Amino acid sequence: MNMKNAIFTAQTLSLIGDGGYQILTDLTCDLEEGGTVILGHNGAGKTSFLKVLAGLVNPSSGSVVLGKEFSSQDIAFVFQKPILLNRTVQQNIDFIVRVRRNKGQGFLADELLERLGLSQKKQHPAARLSGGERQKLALIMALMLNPKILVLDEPTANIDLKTESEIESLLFDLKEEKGVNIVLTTHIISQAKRLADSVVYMHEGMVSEVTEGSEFFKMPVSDPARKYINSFLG
Amino acid sequence: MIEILLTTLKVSLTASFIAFLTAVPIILWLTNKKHSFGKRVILMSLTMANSLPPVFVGLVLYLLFSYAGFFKEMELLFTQSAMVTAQVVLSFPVIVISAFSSIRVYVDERTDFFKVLHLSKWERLKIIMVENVATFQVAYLVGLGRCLSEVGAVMIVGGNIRGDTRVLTSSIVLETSRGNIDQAVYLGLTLLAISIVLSMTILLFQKK
Repeated sequence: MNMKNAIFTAQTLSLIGDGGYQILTDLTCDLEEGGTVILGHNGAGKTSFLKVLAGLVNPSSGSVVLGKEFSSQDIAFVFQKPILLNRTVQQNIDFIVRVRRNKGQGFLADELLERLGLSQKKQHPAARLSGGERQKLALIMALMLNPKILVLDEPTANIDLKTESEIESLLFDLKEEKGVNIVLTTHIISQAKRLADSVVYMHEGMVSEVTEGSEFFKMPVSDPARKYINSFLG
Repeated sequence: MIEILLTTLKVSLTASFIAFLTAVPIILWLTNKKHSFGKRVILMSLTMANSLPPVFVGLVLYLLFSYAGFFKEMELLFTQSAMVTAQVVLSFPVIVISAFSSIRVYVDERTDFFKVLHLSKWERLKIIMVENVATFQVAYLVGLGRCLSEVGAVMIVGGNIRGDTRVLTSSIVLETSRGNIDQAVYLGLTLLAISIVLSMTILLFQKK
């Protein structure tokens, strides 16, 4: 594997939930530049891990160290259930532009709206958009923050194939052409294959393995990951 | 009749406005405060205060404002100010609880979103206020409704003095006890009309 810079270094992370149950256990790994896909069954701790990485949740013990060239304001997060303001599409975008901290040459809202097919809906109330459109808008809003690291929690869950493909294609271009580092969780193996430079496989709150993308899909190293991949192959 | 109507509106609008202005910072503080014992105690107290019997509130204020009471120097008893005070006490928890329950859902859903944006405390408060204007409007109107419909407390601390502290609700009680049913019905219909206008306004805001 080529040596790349780490964007996140998780050091012996543990997270205990409200009910006292262990969500993450002694989790240590490096997430390198490029595309990192976090895989694992439901309840493996993927979303919690993402939230700890992005600084949304404080770990019970351990720490997350951000790569030298990044600051916490370089991170944008796209939630599985899109979070929008009760305003029009354009007003949601304007709000982000107003509050973003790391100003500078960023993404152009109009281009993104055009690419994701929302340019005709600028004046529509965000609350009246379909699930897929809401997720597209959430992604555009995240990109308006000019992130160097884009963290996405199952961004294409519960949306139609066309929208899934549009979002996936945009993420691929962001990673390859714009150099945005992408960390995402997904249950769609084809999407993981396309976007993953490396794969983190999680099982019961722990990391089973961190493997280069192409290697992982040929032959995962750990037993839980092998079983997971085999379950998709039938 | 016009005088009674004007006194009713003056007292209730003043009281609900004061209660609303006092309630807004408390609502924002509560929605932004993490779960803690103190927050639970405050919410529990406000929920209990929400169902305080108006007559009891009137009695307590009467004792405080009376010639032997703690605030006797203020000479508030049997004045419109005493009525306003009683209505503030009664409508404040109603406003806080009704707005808080809606705004809490809004904030809970967006806590991570605000964190990702690294919003300052003021930016956060501003966006919560702007996005929840309709909720605040409804809460104010609910508080105003509580003020307008209240009778027990204002009768005790206001004294139902003709031309001064007599309002629609206390007039209805008086006219009924005198056997002037026609007059009582007339006043009651006036109060009902105000309530209908108020309810329709609430529905209109909720629809927005």
